Amino acid sequence: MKRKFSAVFALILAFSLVMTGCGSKGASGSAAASGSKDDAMKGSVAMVMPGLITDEAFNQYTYDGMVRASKELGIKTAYREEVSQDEQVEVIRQFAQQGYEIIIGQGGQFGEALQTVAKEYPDKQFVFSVATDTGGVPNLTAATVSYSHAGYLGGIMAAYTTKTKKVAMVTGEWYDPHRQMEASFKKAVASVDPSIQVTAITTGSWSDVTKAREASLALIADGYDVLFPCLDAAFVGVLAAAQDSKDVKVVGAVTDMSKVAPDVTVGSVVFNWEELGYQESAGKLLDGKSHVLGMAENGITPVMSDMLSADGKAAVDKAVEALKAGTVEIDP
Amino acid sequence: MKSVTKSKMIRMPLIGDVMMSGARTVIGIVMGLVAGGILIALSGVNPFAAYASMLRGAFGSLPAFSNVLVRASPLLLGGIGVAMGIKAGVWNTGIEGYMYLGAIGAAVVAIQPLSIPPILHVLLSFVVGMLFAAVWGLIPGYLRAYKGVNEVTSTIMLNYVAIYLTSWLVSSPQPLAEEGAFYPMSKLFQESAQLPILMRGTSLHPGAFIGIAICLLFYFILNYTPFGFRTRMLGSNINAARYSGVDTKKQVVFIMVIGAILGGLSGAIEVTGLKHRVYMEFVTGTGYQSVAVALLAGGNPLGVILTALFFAALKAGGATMSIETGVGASMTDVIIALCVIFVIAVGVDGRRRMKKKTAKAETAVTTEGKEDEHVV
Repeated sequence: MKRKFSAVFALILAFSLVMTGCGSKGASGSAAASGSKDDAMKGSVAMVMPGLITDEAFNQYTYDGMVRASKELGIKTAYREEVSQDEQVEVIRQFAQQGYEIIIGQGGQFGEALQTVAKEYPDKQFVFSVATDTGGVPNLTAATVSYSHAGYLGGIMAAYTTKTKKVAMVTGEWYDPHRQMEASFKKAVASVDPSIQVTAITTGSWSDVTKAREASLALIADGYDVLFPCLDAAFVGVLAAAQDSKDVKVVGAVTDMSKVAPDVTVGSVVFNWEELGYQESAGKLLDGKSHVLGMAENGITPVMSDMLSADGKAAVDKAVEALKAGTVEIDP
Repeated sequence: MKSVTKSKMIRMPLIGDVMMSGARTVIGIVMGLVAGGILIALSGVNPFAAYASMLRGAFGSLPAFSNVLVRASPLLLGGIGVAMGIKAGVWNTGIEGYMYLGAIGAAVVAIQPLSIPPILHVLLSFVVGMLFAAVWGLIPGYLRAYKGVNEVTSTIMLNYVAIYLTSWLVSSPQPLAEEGAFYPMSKLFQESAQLPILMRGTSLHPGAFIGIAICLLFYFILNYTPFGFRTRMLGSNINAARYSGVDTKKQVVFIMVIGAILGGLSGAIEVTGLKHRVYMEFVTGTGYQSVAVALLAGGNPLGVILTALFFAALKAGGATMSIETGVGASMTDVIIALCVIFVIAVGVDGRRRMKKKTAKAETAVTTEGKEDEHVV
């Protein structure tokens, strides 16, 4: 028994030594990159995220935007994923101490932490992403995509698709942006046909697929034939519910849902998270103000499939022009 | 048969003794770190460089060490809360929930503009937070003591209730919630209700020191008071405790509520010390980590201080490690889990040795033939 154990232990040791040899290559590469510090840190960007950079949602796409900025402008970048609430201040402060010039907090939960560190490092720039509140700190800029514009375009598509004159928005929880989205969604539907009935529900979870599917089936049983999901991973549940039912269509939001379910998706309003991450990282927004990237700023892109009628497509194009010109009376 | 047992005991006397002593925790931790190092190497990073950056991130400078203390604060208080339970044979796994309740209680007071001295405002926030948590802890305590409901199930279930309750309370339009916020959060606490920062340019608040003081206090209570004696008796043999006249049911409720109060204080300190708001889902697993802290410490309050600081050093250093070397952020959790697993595994080995020793002790008083039957 003991002998077996020591043999295994020796093997593990030997293995770890071999692995160390392989591993040291990567480390030396990064050491070289951080060579002459002042030059290398010019325009450097660090991004902290609440989720993973492989989540196929805003964490990943804003990160991709930072990578694009890094490639185009040759700036040094760093990131940390899955930053929990108790370590936000600590992690952001460490990036500031290491000399990163732009530090981006990705998500509404970073507000207090960014304000705290921004006050401590007035010579650095901070970006509060997916938010509009700068707290009056001069070196803190807020930036997000326009949920209102997304809701408005989604509303036009939904209104031209419904046959039962009942459309529904499905979201995870009520954050303020989703309230704005709901308001403009309703406004757009009413602008097409005021007799269409609009409802908006929350499932209580951004990622629970089953909950989203069950909530959608309940809506469908109630006669709703167009669903407008604004969810993270849970949107798949809405698509599944539509696929399992007859004559139910989906207007996607956030991502292009026709890639997942082309048979039921009439169109999507895509949030250009990648563009947001790019503009933040490239230093285009750093003025201490609040930025909302709408149609005119390439924050939202509508995509439509052939299931949407020609009238519908024309209406969406018209709405896009109106949003760009700023003639629609909704929140930015 | 006997010769095998005997030779095993004799062959490695030193290691055997070390295994039996408290050093087995250290051995388990070292094995956990080695295993973690192998995983870091597998992910393509030099484990020595990674651990060096982890050490720097935890002890490299005073601000770095202050990060460790900030992280240790909830682990110390939660850890001692669970440790009390372990001593009494109760698994109080509800720290996560108590932290939320404590934070809500603290927020109710802390957002009010009261014209009282800051120290009183902070203390009042703590007291209300602890009160909220105590009421919360009373539920699983009562259920366990008088209805026989398993406390692990009920506390973990109640954790979810507490998490969702907090989410609801900090979403507008509830009175606690900030209006027009981009993430559900409470209103900002009054300045008089915010814990002081002890070192400029860091987040160091007095939480860790309060935690250490409370661990020392409970070491005293457990070992030198009748209450502590009753608690330990409950844990070692509940029937003996009942036979000697201890109201075991009341004692169980007490222990659960004390754990809840400590968890509530931990949550209250976290919100008044760190971000001065209650954010939705502001605790992410710290409550469960304090169960591991208490487990690693074997329920010993002094051990809780050491293991809480160790966990905190791993977490704070792990953050620096992932920033500097690009090791995934979840590696810290993996290393912590490995340490716990190895400590438990080594501990199990120790218990088996204990049995062998007793068997050997019995040989001394029995004849050889009898002993053989006994062991087989």
